Amino acid sequence: MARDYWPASSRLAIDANVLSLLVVYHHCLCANVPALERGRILDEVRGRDGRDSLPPDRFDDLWQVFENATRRVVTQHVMAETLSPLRGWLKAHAEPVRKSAISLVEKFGVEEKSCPFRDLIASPADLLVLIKLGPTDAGLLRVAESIEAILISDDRDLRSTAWSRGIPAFPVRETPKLAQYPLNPRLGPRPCG
Amino acid sequence: MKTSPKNGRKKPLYGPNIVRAWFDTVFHYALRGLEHERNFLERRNWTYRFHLDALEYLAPLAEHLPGSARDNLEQFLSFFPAIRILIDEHNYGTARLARTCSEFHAALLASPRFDEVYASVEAEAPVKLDGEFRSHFGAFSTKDHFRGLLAEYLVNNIRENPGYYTTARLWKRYSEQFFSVLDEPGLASHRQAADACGHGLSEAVVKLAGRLKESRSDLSLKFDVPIAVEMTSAD
Repeated sequence: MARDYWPASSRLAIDANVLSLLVVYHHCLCANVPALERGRILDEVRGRDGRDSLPPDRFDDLWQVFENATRRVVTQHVMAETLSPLRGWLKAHAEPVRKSAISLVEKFGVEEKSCPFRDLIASPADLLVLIKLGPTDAGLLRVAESIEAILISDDRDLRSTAWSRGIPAFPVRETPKLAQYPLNPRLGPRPCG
Repeated sequence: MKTSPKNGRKKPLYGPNIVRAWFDTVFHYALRGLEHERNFLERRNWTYRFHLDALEYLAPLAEHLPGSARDNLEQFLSFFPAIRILIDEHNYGTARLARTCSEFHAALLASPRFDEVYASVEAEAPVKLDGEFRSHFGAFSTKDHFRGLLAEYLVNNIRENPGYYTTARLWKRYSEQFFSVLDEPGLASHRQAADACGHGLSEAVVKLAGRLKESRSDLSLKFDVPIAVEMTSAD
């Protein structure tokens, strides 16, 4: 079932790699960085040594999805990962990145959910993900599931686990597919907890 | 070329280190930029932006390279002047297309027929689509911006926007009415001019990319420098 337009109830759960892209995109917009340079920076931030380069308008699509969502949710772990870059362009521009993140959170009302380690351990389903993928991914999946959000992530293992729990998950490359996603996806019940 | 005193053979002025730098800082970005350009040109999306009065993603080749790599491009071209000619052709093509799109956009805004369609859509949309007309334009807030954006879609041959664009509903419903404006003889000629420029640029892109790939392959084999040194898995 294709839909005409992005629904008013669109909710996004955002992974750290994608939040980094959004923070950098926002920074580039505010700093009037030319579009071609913006695309190069975003490709570098996305990593993969440029072997999986995205067309520059794919980042524009991602921004539109973010801008027009009604809820944008991350976890404290995701925020911490994004704001503590370890290498590359993000590390070299850590201060403007943090300023941009602050502005992004304030301007677009990004919700930051907590997901304590102990809560993850208490749920057998979350515990499995915690062991397999780590606390950031386990927490994000738990939050995405609880608010019936669509997950955007460039992490294949995370997406695969998300789908196995009934959470629709897309990489940045496939952002346009979000426009065709069923209007009211029926999400299955949480496997546990 | 220098002459080696030992065997009398000419030694190239550049070696594997410089070739590696050309691969990583010039060929990589140039070919990627040309590939993106080809994709836009195939869709006849000229990436014209009314608020910049410029093409956003079709640009002179050097602009596809990081600033720090442009000296390497100049160095490379000093040894391969034939490629400079192809780059000049490409750059001329982007400038010509940009000028044509700008004139096309201005002609649309000056067209009484465009105004007529705009006025009827502005009156009808709030009833048919249930909501304020301005709500379809996101951060844009003035009538000039609304008209500019819709005219931009016509210039760029945007038939439909993905659903997550604020204009998606409006454009889905009314794009055909707006596209009918282009049947006016005065506007049809602008559209044909843009198509012709786009086609010319497309040919220049293919020619330049092909020549760059040939040079890259020749240099790789001649200096035993691999085209790609690291591979990572990609989704």
